[in-house]
Amino acid sequence: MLRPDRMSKVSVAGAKPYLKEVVEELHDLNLVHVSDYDGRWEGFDNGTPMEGGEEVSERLVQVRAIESKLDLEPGEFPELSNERYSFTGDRTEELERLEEVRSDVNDLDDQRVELKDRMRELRERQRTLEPFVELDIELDLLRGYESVELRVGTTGDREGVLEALEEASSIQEHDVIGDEVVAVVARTSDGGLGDALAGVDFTELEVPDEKGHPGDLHQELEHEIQDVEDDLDSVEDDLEDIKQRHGAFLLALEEELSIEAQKSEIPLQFATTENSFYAEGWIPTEEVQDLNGALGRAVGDHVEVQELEVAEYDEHGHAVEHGDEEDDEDHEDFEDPPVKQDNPEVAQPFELLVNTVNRPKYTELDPTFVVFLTFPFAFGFMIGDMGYGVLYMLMGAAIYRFVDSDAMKALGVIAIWAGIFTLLFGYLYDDIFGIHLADVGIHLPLAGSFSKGIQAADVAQTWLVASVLFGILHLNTAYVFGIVNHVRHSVKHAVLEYASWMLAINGFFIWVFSRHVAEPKPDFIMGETSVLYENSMFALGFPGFSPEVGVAGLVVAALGAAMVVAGEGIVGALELPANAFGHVLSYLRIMAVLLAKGGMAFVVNLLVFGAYEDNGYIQFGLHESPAATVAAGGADSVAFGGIVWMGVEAGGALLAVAAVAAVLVFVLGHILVLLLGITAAGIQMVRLEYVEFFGKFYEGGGRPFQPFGRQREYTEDGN
Amino acid sequence: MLEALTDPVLLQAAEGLSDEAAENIADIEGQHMANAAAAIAVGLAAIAAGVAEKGIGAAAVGAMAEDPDMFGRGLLMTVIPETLVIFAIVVIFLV
Repeated sequence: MLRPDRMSKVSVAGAKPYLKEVVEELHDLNLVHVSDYDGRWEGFDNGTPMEGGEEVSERLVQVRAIESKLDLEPGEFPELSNERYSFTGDRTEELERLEEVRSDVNDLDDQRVELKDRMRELRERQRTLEPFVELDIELDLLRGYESVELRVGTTGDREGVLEALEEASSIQEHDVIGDEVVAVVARTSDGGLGDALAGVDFTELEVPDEKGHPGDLHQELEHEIQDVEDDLDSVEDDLEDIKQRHGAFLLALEEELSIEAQKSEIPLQFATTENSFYAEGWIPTEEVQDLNGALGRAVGDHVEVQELEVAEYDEHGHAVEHGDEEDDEDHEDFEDPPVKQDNPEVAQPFELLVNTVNRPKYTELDPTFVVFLTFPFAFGFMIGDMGYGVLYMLMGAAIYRFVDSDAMKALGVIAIWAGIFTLLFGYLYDDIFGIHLADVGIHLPLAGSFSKGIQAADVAQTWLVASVLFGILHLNTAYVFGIVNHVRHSVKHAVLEYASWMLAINGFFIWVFSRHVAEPKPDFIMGETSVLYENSMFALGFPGFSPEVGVAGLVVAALGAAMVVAGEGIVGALELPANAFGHVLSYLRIMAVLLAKGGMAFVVNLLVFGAYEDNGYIQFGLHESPAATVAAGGADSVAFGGIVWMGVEAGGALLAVAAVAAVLVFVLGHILVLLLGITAAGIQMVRLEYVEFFGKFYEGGGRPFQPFGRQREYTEDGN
Repeated sequence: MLEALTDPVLLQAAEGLSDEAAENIADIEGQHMANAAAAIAVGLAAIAAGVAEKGIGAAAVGAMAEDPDMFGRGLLMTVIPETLVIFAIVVIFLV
């Protein structure tokens, strides 16, 4: 669970004539991660692709080109998985079909390219005409003058242009036609119109080389564009039609050809001589027998399968003790085993969160299961609302159902888990969209055993302490992981760099929660005023550790700190306050998000229903207007009238307006809180996992286990 | 002005109140001042976190554009300064 699958390195050796059968069998098994042969033995060369490989690759390129022109993605036409294609025999029929589809698609694609070019050209012409439409003068009249100069352009300052023309000494006569698009005509002595216009807001436009009225031309172009668009649509329709008729066939053919290409190229990773081949690869240790059996059945004694080694989980697969430095030279030939994570099915979606940082190395613990235990739990605690919980579950289910990507599907499952815990904690807080069910007369067992602490300081303080305790537990787990990862490699390393931090953190916080030096400590963390002794939700009766235990805690913390300095030197000393204190306090974000999200939902309901204040507590006006409650002596004062009650009081048309406003505020407000909940609770908890938790022990950098083979989706093995 | 609101003697002199009333008002005003101070502390910390994240976020997006696999590490680096605000929240509970 916390370790990846144990891997064995195996070798397969045999005579060349059996190569093809061995490759077929290995591919069908889909179990062996084949290692690359690096040419290290004399006399053994990398193999060559199998016969026919080139033709297969060529055809594969053709099929993929057609798919890209059709915009056909793998994963489309999933209904085909029930009736699979089988490519057997000489495939004349299939190749003919492919050829036909290919020539049709190419023709249509050529037409499409041509039409798109034409469209671009027409649009460009239309665009250059636009200013002239505004000017509304026939294009022929805008050029070809000898005695006067004429320029067309855009300006934002017609007056400025006129002024410049007046002032220019070389201009004898002038006229400006138009408003923003202007035609400037002038009789000049020396062709100085350009100079006169140089200093003013005037951008010259070239007069298009066309004849006629610009408005008509524009209109004509519009018709032409419409025609081209129709043609383009019809070409697209034809392509879509081909896609529907042949899409499944193309995907199946691509799959078959990829498999053949994969098979034909695998000898490149083998070591071969003239008459024999030798391959190495990784396989989960428990599958070695299956590999032996399957190859034995396929080719009998003609190949030799050997389990070369079973990779150990300690550093580099060997117990090496060279002090702190790893001696790389010893491991020149050693190849890290690929990593096949082995988590229970429920926790597997959370591999996404771990692998986003990095895939675990073969030699280290896989923290996925801890993320599975902590992430949805903390998320649910922070949001804690039955209404939001159900919505998160629905959102997750929708992503899982409708998005076709493994990563998104995993995200969907994570959202469902987060929703479940949000629902559970929501039940304990007795909150549905921020409203207590008890307030509307529904009393469920255990509901309301917790509160969010928006209105009660001692509850907020309880969650503050709870967040810190959760943090200490989480960090201890991290250091235990660190110890396990390193203890076999070097006990000294494990103790000085991981156990030392555990001592420092735990010792220090035992002192914090003790009655030693009570005066400066806040009341709520120790003594009979402590929230752990008693708070308005539950009484644990824990008044803090005794002063003696507190002093012992300090001693342990000092010992831990000394070990840290011994292990990590000056850097460790500098890190002490951050890791031992700061990182624990960082978990306060859990309480902070709880209060912030609770507070936002509270405000939304306050606006809609209004609220009255009684003995310092604010209650929503769910049954009658807050003003009525106060008037009847049921409360001290009105906190806010509430949109609903304001409408009721005003009556008539205003009631309708208020009703619409209330629904809008309620729905939009809660959607906002719901979405911000994802970024707040989700990102904050991810951060705690990544920075505070992973940061303590996680290295990552494992290679994914990619066995030679492929899951067939559209085809079945025809051979 | 601040001093006049929180010091009972000055307050008494200014408003001509009884001893007890002056003490009470000073207490209440003092608590308000502390609350306001805490609010300012959180707000400033939030601004500081924002300023710090601005640069990191921009760099992280750049890194992600080069290599989408950087998403996890980019996110991780970007949110590191947020702890500043969390520490400021502790202040609320201590005033």
